This record gives sequence, C-alpha cells and structure tokens, in this order.
Amino acid sequence: MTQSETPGGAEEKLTQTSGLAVAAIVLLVMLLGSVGADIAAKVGTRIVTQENWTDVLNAFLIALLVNSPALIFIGVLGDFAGLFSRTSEGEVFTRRNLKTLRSAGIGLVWAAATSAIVVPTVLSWVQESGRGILWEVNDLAFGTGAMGFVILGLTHVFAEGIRIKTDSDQII
Amino acid sequence: MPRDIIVTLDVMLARRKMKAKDLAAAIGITEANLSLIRSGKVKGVRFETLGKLCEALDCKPGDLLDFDVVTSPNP
Repeated sequence: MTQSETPGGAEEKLTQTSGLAVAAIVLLVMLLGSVGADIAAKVGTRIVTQENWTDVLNAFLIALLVNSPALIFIGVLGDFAGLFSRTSEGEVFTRRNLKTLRSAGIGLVWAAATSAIVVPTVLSWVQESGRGILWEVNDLAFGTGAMGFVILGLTHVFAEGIRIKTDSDQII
Repeated sequence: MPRDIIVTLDVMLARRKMKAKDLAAAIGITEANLSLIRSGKVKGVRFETLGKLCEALDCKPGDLLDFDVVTSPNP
C-alpha cells in the first residue's frame, strides 16, 4: 500500500494531537482517582463501623453502580487518548481509529443511559422504593447522550474519509 | 472482449535499457510504487508522476500507456 505525503503544516498539526492524548490521559487518571476515592469512602465507612461482609459487599456494589457512568466515561477517555496518540503518529484515517471513534460514541450514549435510567432504576429496586423504570434525565445526561450521537454521526464522515484515502493511496 | 488501459512501462524500460530501481530513484518514488504502476495495479497515475516518467525515459505518455484487450494473468 502506498503512503500519500502529508501536506505542509498538516504534519505539525498532527503532532499537536499528542498533547490532546496527554490531556485525555490526565483527565482519565483524575477521574479514576475521584471514582476510586468515592468507592473507598463508601466502602470504608462500612468497614470502619465493622458491619458484616455482605453489607460491605453491598456498599461496594452500590458505589460501583453509582459511579458506573464515570467508569464508562473513563473508557471513553481511554478511547480518545488512543485515538489522539495514533493520530499524532500519522495514523489517521484507519479502520482501527474508526472503530475507536464508534466505541467512544457508543460509550457516551451508554454513560448517559446509565446515568439517566440504569442507576436510578436499580437504586430504587435495591432500596425497595419502587419496582418500575425510573427516568432522571438531567441536562448533563442529555448533553452526554447528544454528544455520543453526534460522534456516532461523525463516524460516517470518518468512514467516507477512509474510503477517499484508500482511493487516493491507489493513485501514484 | 473487454478493453482497458495497459501500462507499457516495461517495454519502454527495456528499450532504454534502464533498471526499474534506477528509474524509481530518478523520479523520486519507491520501487514498490513503481512496481504497482508497472503491473497496472493502481487506480491512477498522477500527471506529475507521468511527467517525471516521460522525462526520465525521454518519451511521451502514449509510449507508456496503451488501450487494448486485457489478458488476465495466470493464477
């Protein structure tokens, strides 16, 4: 397969995406720390009060459930870090990057759905305050879901970019 | 019978008694890309590349390309 030359200036812009990769990793670590601290605080309280192991396990699972949108978001940040890192190395319009972008979009939609539906519903079941499906669509969940759909839409543009690049690579 | 563009670069290389490696170096493309052009396994050739080929081989584009019946290579 041939390698088309990068137009002047574009190469410099590509290397700048390595900064975005670093920023994504920093955010990922910060979010991971925040989630870890939250889970540790909730579980730690149960351990300190010396409750039995089932209560500790329940506290851990509930803390995990409450933090699940953030955990999904950590995965999305990981996707973006990988995407920006590969882009900085000149690997832009590839199937792998398309897959990563799609994964990030789906992740954001899942984070929104988890935050707005799954967490309130399961919490209501666990706390036995309800049996139905609860919707708590706030601005943040709505925005996150919308961004997810926007990214999923952009994957179609990206796929067209890959097709054009493949064609371009076959012209020498 | 289907007719298509045929690359006759090999013929011109033989006429000029030039090696593909030397031609690739002269026009500034990789041997792999030159091999793809020679075998016709490309969707197109840029005018810029065609011009460089003509200059290096001292010929015209018509000397490098033909339009004829394509014989499929043996599997």
